[in-house]
Amino acid sequence: MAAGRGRLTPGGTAVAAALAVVLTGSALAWFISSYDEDQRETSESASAANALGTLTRWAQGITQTIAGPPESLAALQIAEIPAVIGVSAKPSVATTVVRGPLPAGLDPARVTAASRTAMEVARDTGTPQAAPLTDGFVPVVFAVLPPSRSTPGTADRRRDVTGWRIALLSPQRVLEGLPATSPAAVGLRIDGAASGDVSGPSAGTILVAGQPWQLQMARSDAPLSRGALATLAVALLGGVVCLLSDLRVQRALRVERQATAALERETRTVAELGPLLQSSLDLAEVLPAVALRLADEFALSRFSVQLVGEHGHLLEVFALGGRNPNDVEEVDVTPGNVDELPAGVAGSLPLLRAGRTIGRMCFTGHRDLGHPQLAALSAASDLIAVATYNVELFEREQASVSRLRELDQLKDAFLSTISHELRTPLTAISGFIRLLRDRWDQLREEQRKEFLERVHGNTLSLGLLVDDLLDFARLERQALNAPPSPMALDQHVAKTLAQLEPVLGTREIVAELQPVRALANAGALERVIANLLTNAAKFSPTDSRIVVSVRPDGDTATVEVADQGAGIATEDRERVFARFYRGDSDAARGTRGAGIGLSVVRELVHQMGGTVVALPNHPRGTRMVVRLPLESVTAPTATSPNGVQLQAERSST
Amino acid sequence: MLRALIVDDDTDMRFLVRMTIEVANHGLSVAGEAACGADAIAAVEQDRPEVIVLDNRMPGMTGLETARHILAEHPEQQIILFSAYLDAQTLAEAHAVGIHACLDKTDVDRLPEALWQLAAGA
Repeated sequence: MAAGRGRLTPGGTAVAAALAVVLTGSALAWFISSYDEDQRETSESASAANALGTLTRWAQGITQTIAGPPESLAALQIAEIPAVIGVSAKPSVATTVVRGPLPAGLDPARVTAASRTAMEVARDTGTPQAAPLTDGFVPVVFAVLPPSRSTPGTADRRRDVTGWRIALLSPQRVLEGLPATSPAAVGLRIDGAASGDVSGPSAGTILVAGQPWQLQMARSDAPLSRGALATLAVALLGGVVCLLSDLRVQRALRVERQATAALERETRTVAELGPLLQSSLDLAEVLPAVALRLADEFALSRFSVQLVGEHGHLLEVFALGGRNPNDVEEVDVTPGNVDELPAGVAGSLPLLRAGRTIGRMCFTGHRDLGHPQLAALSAASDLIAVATYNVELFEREQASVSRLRELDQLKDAFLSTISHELRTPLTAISGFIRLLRDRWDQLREEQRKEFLERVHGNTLSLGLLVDDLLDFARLERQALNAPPSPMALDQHVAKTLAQLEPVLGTREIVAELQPVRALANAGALERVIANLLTNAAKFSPTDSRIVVSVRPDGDTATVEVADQGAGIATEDRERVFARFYRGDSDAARGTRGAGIGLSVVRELVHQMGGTVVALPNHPRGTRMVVRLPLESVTAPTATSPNGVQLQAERSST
Repeated sequence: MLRALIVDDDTDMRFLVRMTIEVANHGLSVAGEAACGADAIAAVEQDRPEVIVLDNRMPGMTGLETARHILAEHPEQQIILFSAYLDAQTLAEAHAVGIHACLDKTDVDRLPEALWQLAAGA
C-alpha cells in the first residue's frame, strides 16, 4: 500500500510511537532527575554551609589563639597545628621550636624563608598572616612584641618586635576535622595551591590569617537517580519494543505488498488476455501469444490446450514446453479442489462452455502455485474457453453458410437439369406428333409406327422422371413408404423388364431369373429396377449387353444389374447414392441426369429391408447389387405417418 | 443439294431432325449425325457439310463451345443453333461466336425453311 502525501506509513507511525515513548520517558526521567538535582543541591548547599561554618569558626579560633599570649599557645592542643616555630628578630638568635615536634622532613629554615613576607606584614600590621603552603603546611605568622609594649604605629612595631611565632597548620588535618557531611569536604584550594581533592565544586571561601581558603566539596556520584534511570530505561525499552514491533510489521507489510503487487500483475495479465483472445478467430495465431504471457507471468515450464475432438477424445491443439516423462496424470486444480499446486506437478483446468466440457488447459509451474495464482489461471481458462467456443461457433457457422451455398448451387443446377430432362422428351414428343399431323400422307407406314414408338418411349422416360421427382420429394419430407410383402421376385422383375424395353434402345438385355420369393414392395421394386436399368443403359455403349439377374443368395434374394460401361471409381461407389451426386468421370460428364435416381433407389431398398451396393463388373462395367430379405424373414412394419405406399405398374400408365 | 450435319445428344431428337429434313426433301439431305461436340468437330472435317444443326446443351462440350472450335478452323461454316433454351444471353453469346441463325426446338417444323434461308444468305 503506498503512503499518501502528509500521511504516516505504518512504519512511520511505529517510529513516531517509539520516539514518543522515548521522549515521554526522557522527559519524565529529566523531571525526576531535576527534582533529584534540586534535592541534591539543597543537601550539598547545607553540607557546604555546615563545613564552611565549621571551617570559619576554626579559622577564627586559630587566629585568635596564635595572636594570644604565649601561654595560650602553649596550651594549644589543636591537632591541626602539629608544631610552632619561634623566630627571633635578632638574626643571631637561632630559630626554635616552641611546640613540637616538627613533622618529619620539615626544615624550619625553609619555612622561615617561605614565611618572610608574611612575617614582615604581620610585624607591620600586628595581625596574624598566613604564608604560602609549604611542604603540605600553611605557616601562620604572628609578630611578637614585648608584653608591656603596645605600639600602634608601624615604625614603632618594626622597632619593638622581638620575634615571630610561626604556627604550622595542616590543611589535611583541618579537612579531617570537619564534620562528616554528604557530600564531604575533600579539598582546599589555598591561595593558588591545592591540598586534597580539588576537582569538585567549591563550597565557598574563607580567610585564614588573611589568606583565602577555598573549600572544595566531593562530586555527586549519582547524576541521575534510580527512579530517573529506571524511567529512562523503561522508556528506552519501550522505544526498542516499538521499533522491533515496527520491524516485524514492516517485514509483514513488505511481504504483503509483494504478494499484492504480484497479484495485481497476474490479474492484469489475465485481464489483458481477453482483448488478445478476441483479436483473432485463428487459435493458431492467438494461443502462442497467450501461452507465452501466462508462462512468463506464472513461471510455467509447460502449457498446453486440449480440445474435445469429433469422437469425444481430447486432442492437444497447442503445447509450449516439453512434457515431463514422470507426469502420470494432471491434477484437477478447479477452484475448490486444491489450494496449491507444487512446482513440477502438472495441473489441469477444464474448459467449460454452455454447460459442457470443450477441452482442458494443462500447465506445470517452475514454482509453487498458490490459491491466487490458481484462481487467476482459472479465469484465464474461462477466457480461453470462450474464445475457443467462439471459434468453434464461427467455424460451424462458416461451414453452415458454405453448405447452404453449396446446396443453393446444387438446387440451381438441379432445377436447370431437371427442366432440361423434362423438356427434351416433351420436345421430341411434340415434334413427332407435329410431323405425323403435317406429313401423314408423305410418311410410310413403318415410319409412322417408328414415330409412335419413339413417342411412347419418350412418354415412358418422362413418366419415369416424374416418378423419380415425386419419390425424391417424398424422400425429402420423409414420407416415402414402401412396406414389403412376400412376392415372386423373378416374376416382378420380368414384368418390369418388359415395360422398360422401349427406353433401353438397342442394348441387349439378358435376363437370368431364378425363381425366388422375397419380401419386397411391387411399386418400389419397379422403381428400383427402372432406375438401375436406365442408368446402366445411359452409362454403357449402344450395342453392349446388360445382364439382369435374380437369384437366392444365402439368407437373401439378390437382384443384380450388370453393365459393360466405364464402371464407377472405387472412391465414388458409395457417393453415387448421395442425392445430386453425379460423379466427375468422363462417363458421368457425357450423360444427362439430375443425380437423384440412385438416392431414391437406396431409400426404397432400405424401406424394403434390403441393401444396395455398387461393385465392379468383370472385365468392365458396374454391378448394382440389391439384396432383399427372403420370404421367411418377418417383414418390417414401420411406416411413415405421411407415407404414400408405392403402387406397382404406375409408371406404365 | 444442301447437306446438313445433325448434332444432338438425344437419339430421338436426332431422328426427329433427320426425318424433318428428309420429309421436307427439296434439295435438303442429311450429311451425318453426331452425339457430342467432339464427334461433331470430327464429322465436319470428314463430311464437310454446308450447314450444321447444332444443339447447345450437351454433356461435355456445349454447342457454343463446339461452334467456336469449328468456326476457328472454318470461319465460313454455316451453323443453326437448334436449342430448347434460346434466351437473350444465349442469343448474344451465339452472335459473339459467329452464329447468325438460331431456332427453338419447338419450331422443328420450320427447320427446312431456316436451312434454305441460311443457304440463300450464304
